[in-house]
Amino acid sequence: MSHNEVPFDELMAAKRESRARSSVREIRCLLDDLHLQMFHLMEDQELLHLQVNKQSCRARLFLARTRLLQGSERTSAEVRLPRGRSYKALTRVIEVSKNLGKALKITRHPVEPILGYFRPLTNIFGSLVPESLRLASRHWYHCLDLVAECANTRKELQWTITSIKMLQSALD
Amino acid sequence: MSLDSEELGSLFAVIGDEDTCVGFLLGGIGEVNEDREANFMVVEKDTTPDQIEACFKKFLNRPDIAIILINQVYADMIRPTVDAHNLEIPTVLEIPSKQYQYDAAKDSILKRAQSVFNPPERRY
Repeated sequence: MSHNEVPFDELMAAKRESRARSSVREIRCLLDDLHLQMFHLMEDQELLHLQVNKQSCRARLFLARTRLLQGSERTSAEVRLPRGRSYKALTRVIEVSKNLGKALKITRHPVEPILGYFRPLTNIFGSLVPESLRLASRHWYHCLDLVAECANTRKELQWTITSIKMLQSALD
Repeated sequence: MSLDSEELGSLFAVIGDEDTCVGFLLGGIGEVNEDREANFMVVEKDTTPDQIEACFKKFLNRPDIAIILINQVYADMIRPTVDAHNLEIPTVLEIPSKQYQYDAAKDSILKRAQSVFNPPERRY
């Protein structure tokens, strides 16, 4: 063997080392992308929380206005909220497939008293309700839409954090 | 989630003050099943943290609940239990109440996100 030829073992070891270095580099690039995605999701989460805050405050104002106009005494909510008979939720969430995994989407069942789907406004407050309560009900509907979006962002953030921790432990 | 909940959809659950519970129930999320189990809990002045924690754990174990809403002030009372929950479903969302605003620094998911990255050490 001439002095210019590299031994086969050393050549294989050098190749293995360069492959390991490039996979570490790829993992680090992926980690950078995931960190960036995490920061974007944190920002989205904060913005959505602000919107939920704003919408729920607006809806609570309508409830407070109703209490003021009706002049009713403050009764315990436990007594007011219906628990005597069983009834079903009109507003639910289902999982739908998206590009990366699944997302939660709101579905609204039509009112069908025979099947146990009662109109919430009349179920809680009776049949004669002021207009402000109907308006409050609409605001709370919109609030739920924002809550579902917030939950989706949170799920994605949780997945991103888990992926970052897995990759970090792979590098260590 | 169970097969039934996949067909009908899953429920919201709410643990909060009177206005929060009444409000979200006006949005149509309230349900009382045949066993008289509700998916909401109104926290009153004399409600203890143990009761809140028991209800929170009950909601976590129910297969038909996908999202749990809890006022942040009550989440603070059972903070270790809320922070220990790191599954995607059910998703726990801390929301502001009438008297206490939402504080991002206390939110469990944001605390977990902050623990992930370590800022580089300064070289003076």
